Amino acid sequence: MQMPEVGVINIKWEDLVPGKVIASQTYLITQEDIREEAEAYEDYNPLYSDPEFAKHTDMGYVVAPFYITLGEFLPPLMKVGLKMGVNTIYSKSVRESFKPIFVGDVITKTMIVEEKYEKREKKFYTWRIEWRNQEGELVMRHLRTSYWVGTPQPLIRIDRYGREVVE
Amino acid sequence: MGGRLLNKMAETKKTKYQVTVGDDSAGLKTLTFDEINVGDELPRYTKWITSKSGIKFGRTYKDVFSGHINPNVSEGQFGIRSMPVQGAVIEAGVTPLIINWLRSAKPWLYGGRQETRFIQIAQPGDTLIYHGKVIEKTVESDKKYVTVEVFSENQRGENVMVATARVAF
Repeated sequence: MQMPEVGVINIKWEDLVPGKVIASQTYLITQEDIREEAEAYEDYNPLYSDPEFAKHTDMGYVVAPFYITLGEFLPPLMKVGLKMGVNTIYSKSVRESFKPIFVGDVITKTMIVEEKYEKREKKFYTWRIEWRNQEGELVMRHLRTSYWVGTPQPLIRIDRYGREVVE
Repeated sequence: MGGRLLNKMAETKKTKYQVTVGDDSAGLKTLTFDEINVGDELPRYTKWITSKSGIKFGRTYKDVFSGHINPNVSEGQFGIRSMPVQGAVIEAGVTPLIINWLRSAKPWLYGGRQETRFIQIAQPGDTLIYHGKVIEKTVESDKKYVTVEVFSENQRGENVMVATARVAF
């Protein structure tokens, strides 16, 4: 069985320095990626999966949905061996689409620490996730703010009797 | 009413087997900036949250253990066993709301903007209804924008998410 990719180094609050580029990852966008992404949100508009249908719309081609994440921030973090070892809660977001993403586009997703702050004794941080295409054009930007709960993220393991144990 | 129906019929034609078909030469009937008015309400969009919802989205980031897909972890992560779905699943419901209304994805993908705040979790068994109302129309140089106020409520009528969505023409 193939084990999932898991980062090994926990990101600490101190590591979140505004302006710092944490990770980036490049994707060749396939029709399957687009279909899977839309279905992940249970959005079954055939514009995301059926070229014949898409041809009869004003987009003309299968296109990625506005809400495409390709795993959002976790795969780029894993790629550089990082993980979120503490609990965080997604609290607000600003997402902008400047240009559509089509099949065959090569998209580079870059994660930058936008800001961090404390409000009413709670810690918050914002990722700026920028998506650029093969022409270097900014096609999407996502400002994603989370509440840094800070408690250790629970992990599961299987004990010698095959029972699931949460640590 | 009768006149409108007759006009609709005039836009169709018959095949040699007398099957009625639409007029392929007619342009796409998508909403334009001028047809939209402040105060317009969008057709509602309903999204059902099931135990599969979190799992489906979790696959996009290879989730095999989080509280979104495992009730034991859910308790340690969120304080409840019910496996709340990822905020992204709630947020993404705004896209079909907008596209179904406009009958086009274009104004949403070329200059669309969504600002979202999460109010409470959504969990398997919840029914989310997304509401939208046009609150502003603006023109900036060569772009025309329509801003929509959106909220999503659960089956108890409680707000789960509020958002502002902007489309560009």
